[in-house]
Amino acid sequence: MSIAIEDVSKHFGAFAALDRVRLHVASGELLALLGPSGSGKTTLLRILAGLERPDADGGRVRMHGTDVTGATPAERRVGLVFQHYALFEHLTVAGNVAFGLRMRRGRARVPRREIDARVQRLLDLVQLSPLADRYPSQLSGGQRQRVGLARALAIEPRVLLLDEPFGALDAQVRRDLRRWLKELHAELGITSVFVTHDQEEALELATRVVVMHQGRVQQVGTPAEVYEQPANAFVYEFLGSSNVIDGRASDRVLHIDGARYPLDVAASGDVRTFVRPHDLEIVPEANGGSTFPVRVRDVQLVGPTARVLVEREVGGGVIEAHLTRAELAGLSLREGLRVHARARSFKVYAGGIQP
Amino acid sequence: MAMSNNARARILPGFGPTLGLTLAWLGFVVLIPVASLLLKGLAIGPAEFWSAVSGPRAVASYRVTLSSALAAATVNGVAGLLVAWMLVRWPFPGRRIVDALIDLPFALPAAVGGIALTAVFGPNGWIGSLAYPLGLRTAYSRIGLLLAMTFVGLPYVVRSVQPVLEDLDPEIEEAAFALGATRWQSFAHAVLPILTPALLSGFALALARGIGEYGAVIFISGNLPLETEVTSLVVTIKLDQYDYAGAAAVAIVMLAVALLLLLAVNLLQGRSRAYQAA
Repeated sequence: MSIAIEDVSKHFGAFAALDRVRLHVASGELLALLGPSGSGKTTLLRILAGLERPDADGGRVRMHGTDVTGATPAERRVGLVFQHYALFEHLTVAGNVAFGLRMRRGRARVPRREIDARVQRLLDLVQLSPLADRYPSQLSGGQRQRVGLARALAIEPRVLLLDEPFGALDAQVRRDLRRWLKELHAELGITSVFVTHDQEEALELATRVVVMHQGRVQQVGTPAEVYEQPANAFVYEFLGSSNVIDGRASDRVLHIDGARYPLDVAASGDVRTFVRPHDLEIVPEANGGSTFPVRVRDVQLVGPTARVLVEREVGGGVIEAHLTRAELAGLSLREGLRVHARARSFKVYAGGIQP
Repeated sequence: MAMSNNARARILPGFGPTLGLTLAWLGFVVLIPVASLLLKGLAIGPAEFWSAVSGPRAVASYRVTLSSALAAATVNGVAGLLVAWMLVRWPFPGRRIVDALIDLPFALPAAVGGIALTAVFGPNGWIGSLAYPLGLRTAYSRIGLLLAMTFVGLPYVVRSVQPVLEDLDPEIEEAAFALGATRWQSFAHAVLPILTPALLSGFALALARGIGEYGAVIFISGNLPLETEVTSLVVTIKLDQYDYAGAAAVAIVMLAVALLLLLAVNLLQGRSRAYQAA
């Protein structure tokens, strides 16, 4: 089931939650809507679900070519998974999963035997069959969210929509459930859209990532594309940690504290240079005009990486370099030591200083 | 493991004194008066007891009181739920004033409420003068009785349901809606079961208040023997005639019936929250 979002806008009072969003979701995709809070990602999901309508002149939503802008969630046949599960506390696990089918009346009525069979299949799928007669209050967070997923799948939706599905879970459960959801998606092949503010979750899980900010789509691409070629400063800073180093650009050359780097964008004057901490190299000696002097401020060992905080001697300001333990061992760094830094790769966005 | 059990029991200090105080207080204000009532009523011997509690006026009063209190509690169950829903879900202007008004029947002396109701629903009252020509006797009748009991019982239901409704996640209704439930189905199958324990507890409180009501009722019911005379009035009349034992006997019957009813509602309530027993 493909989805087309055509110039969708949504205002809450004067606040523009969504500003002419265009997006196409291909059939069978697992798409992540990624952004900070207030970026409009949840509003977009709710509009896809049919829980929210776009502004009166605020664009259309099509599913499989059919205009569904005014349709209810049931008419769209979407399955919804909530951050805080939204399970029916008075029903057992099986009762929760059966809910959507039990509500069907008249011609759509599903025979009891068929409901039971389908509930059983879904409980097997989410590995909760032994807990069928438990109540939600007797389950862990991860189990509850799997009930939420089985409940959404029970109505055989054409699209699965998940609103921060792992947001309320702790780190370990989160990772397990993430991997499990990825496998489940591969198995079922159902077109799915999930909202997250966690870039790691989006990059690990999604086939494509939509980065949103201030009600607009900033970039759409595969996890590798958005991470390696961020379209703008916002996307760069939002995806992973980054250093911002002020430099000067002139004649396609970037100057940082005396170091010179060839520049591939047309920029001049003061520019903000983005460097990932793992792209920042620390060397003991100055080297051919590509290094700039820094002084070691702090060294922290975090698991396999060493986080080295250094202060630029010329320009000032503390920046962070991530080294492997082996690299660290070869340097014998200590606080106050004068060393040199080099950017292995960096990014400057055209137009000088970015907001 | 005995150690940890012990530690858990003592996380809240002062269990002993608290329990002692609770029991002493309960005994002082509830058990001792009730026991003296039982002593008084049962002292007269079975034959006299039976004749006191099975007189036609007494029997009619049980019927009138119980049926009216049940009807009023039912009306309040529905109306109270609606009022609580309005107060929680719809931020209409003046909501806080309405919210405060709900408690008025609690604060008002019941007799004042009864007089006020009679002034409005009596034959010359604002509403009574419209209803009487239509053949609706809104005062000095079973209708009046019902009105009075409804008036005093409403806050119990509203105040029981309101906090549960405030805690109810609106996403529950969205989830039901997304699963294809109609508005009515979503209310009946997703929301109402969560509210049921609180609703039953409000119902029980309103019922108990209705059964015991005196002040609000006697001004508007007309107090016609065998028709609109409530049990609490029968007791008072017996007291006025210095028939203390007879009054106590009738009171014991009322007490027993009220206890049974409350017990039944509590059992029902326990069943409706089976899902919480995690």
